[in-house]
Amino acid sequence: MMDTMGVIIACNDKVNLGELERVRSVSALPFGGRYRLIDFVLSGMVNSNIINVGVATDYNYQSLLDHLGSGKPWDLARKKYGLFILPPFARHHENTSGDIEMELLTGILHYMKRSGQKYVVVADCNNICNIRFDDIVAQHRHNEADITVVYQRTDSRKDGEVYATVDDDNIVTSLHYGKGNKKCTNRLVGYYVFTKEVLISMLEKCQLQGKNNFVQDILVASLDRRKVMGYCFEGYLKTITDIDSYYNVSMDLFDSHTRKSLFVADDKILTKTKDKVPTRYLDDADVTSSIIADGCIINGTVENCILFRGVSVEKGAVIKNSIIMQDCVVSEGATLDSVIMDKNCVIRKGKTLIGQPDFPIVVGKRRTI
Amino acid sequence: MIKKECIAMILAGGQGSRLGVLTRDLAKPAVQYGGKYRIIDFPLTNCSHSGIDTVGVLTQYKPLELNTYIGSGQAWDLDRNDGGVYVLPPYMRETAGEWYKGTANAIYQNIEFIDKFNPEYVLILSGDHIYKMNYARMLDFHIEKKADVTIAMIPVPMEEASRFGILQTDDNSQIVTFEEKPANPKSNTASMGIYIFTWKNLRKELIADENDPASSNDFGKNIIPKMLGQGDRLFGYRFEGYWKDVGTVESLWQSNMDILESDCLNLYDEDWTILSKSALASPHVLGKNSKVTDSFITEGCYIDGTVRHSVIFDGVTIENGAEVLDSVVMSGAIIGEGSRVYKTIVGPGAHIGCNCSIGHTDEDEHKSKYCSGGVSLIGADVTIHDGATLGKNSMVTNDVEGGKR
Repeated sequence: MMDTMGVIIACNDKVNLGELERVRSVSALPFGGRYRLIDFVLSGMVNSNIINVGVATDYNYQSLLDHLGSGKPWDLARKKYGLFILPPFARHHENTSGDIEMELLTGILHYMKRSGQKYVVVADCNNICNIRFDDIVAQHRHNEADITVVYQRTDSRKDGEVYATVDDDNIVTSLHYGKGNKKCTNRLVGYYVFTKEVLISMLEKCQLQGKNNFVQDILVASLDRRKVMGYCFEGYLKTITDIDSYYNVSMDLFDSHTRKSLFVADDKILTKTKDKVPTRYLDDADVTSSIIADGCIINGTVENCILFRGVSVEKGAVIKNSIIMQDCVVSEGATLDSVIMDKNCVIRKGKTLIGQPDFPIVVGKRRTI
Repeated sequence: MIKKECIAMILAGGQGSRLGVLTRDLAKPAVQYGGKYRIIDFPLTNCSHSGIDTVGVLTQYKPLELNTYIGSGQAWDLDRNDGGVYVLPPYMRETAGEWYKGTANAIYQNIEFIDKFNPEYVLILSGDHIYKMNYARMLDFHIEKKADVTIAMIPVPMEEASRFGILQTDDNSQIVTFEEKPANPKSNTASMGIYIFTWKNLRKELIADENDPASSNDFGKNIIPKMLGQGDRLFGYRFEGYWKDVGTVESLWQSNMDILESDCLNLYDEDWTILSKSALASPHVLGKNSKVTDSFITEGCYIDGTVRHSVIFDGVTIENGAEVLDSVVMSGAIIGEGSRVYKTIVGPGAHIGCNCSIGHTDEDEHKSKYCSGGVSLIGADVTIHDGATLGKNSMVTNDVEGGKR
């Protein structure tokens, strides 16, 4: 796919992850024991042989920069093209009515023009899926479309989402927001293929006219004039928008079918490696139904949990239904249930924290309890 | 090329024939170790952390897997602009080409390579030892003693001493006697096969040695005794810490078990992280029936059985009801439901079916001279069919028929 470039929108103003998002951009949110959210979309692009990827960032991008580095883990440290991290062109103004997609895309017009590819995949960073974009671009190319939007069929409609009606030829006939009462439940997942010339000319026109709403001024505005196609993605794809969805999608990983579709496929989810020692289980370890990254030392009871790298669970500690991020320490005799614990936290001896599966307790980064 | 103070040459050409089927398709330094490493990771990590940025790896026996593993050297930060890691196989010359005849000959054949960097000192390492060592300190010692050769040394059990080069030193650490594999060792201080030479002296000795038809072109047998005999300054550098020559199936097994002991090899040292090429798998998953204690488990595994006192590599599956005890299970192996595995090295990609018994009984159909101490070995990609029984000290190179249960 030398003819396709990728642009990842590494922040999202529709996402609210509270405490977890305070210290990082949503794209750098740890997920699944060793990954960051951006790994999924970035791996999808790399697995589709897209070798020119721009990551457009807004604020709080320090941890994202740490994670991406030169792009080497994704094979994107290249002489020709490779990974481009694109910091914000201008500050995001609180009082503008525009959205982040438009602002960031307009800010990287120059990068898109300079790139030699004919198509561009524009993608949000907050989906968990193992997707191949080459299939989508192939359909786009075959149909000589101007825009292809990726959607998935869902059971019901939710506020804050955009839904597409498509005809028998997969042409998008209308787009609408939110719950409404329409029957159509084809949810846009935030992945789009554009013929690059089309996107550039639309962005430039919007810029001149002061239009700054991606869905309205780019997508909806194209429906009558251009060929806008739909592509239905049938595989596993979940979008993380808040703490609940983060917790629930994490818990999906306990399902072996979900794990298979994400991790056991031929296309790997690539991420930065850390040379951690394998996880050490000691004599009093009792671990069941859990997902454990390398570098942990476990001597307590762990059930239905995701432990990230370097977590230490001391003797007599009991952790259930929880997500424990990198380098946390759960001391002797502590009890945790339904907790999301950010990096580098310490739970002192004998402390107890109990949330509910539908209301997990979130512990911010570097806290000691 | 910028002149280098010290470059390292790793002797990685040995077949490691005593490891039986483990080295059938790959060189010994490429053999897996410790859950996610290969033996070669240890000398490469030591070089990287010791600030030695130019490393030649001399390969000869079945080098494909080793070469592929080393790649650009990026995993050890050895992909450098000036220097880095070089794989050096024997090659053809104008008149003839020949294999590496011995350890010294392997270096002799690469004199041009070393000259290119024009180093003051050359560090000679072996590609089949497990240890953590700061070579920079040994180099300081070498320089301080104005030595021609410095040999790292370590005490070994007296009964094993005749397997090693045995040396004696005076109060100033100067070597007074050196005997390679003596029948009646005079001490239990052994050479670790780690040498620092002052390059211009070694260069001269290598050429002289090559011209001596009686020489077997070996450091321990020829070069060292000759230099000692002619009055050169040879010093012994005392190494303290864990060091293991993993030459046999039993010692490889033992060395893997050693990382489960707190007082052996500390893999958690933040300043001396063991660097390796990661398998890039998802975190491991423990199923609802799993019972894992006193073990190492790494990425990509699915464990639903019982694992005790074992080292499990990436991508291993251990099914419900299976029991793995005191064993080493290498990458991608599968152990089926109800199988019981004891004191066994399971090679990469091996598939043990259901209800097999491995390493428990005295059944001797597959007994092998390579295996001792009750340790069994299953070769890479071998299939053991359902219900089969393999006794202690077994080695399996081909698929094994199932048993009746």
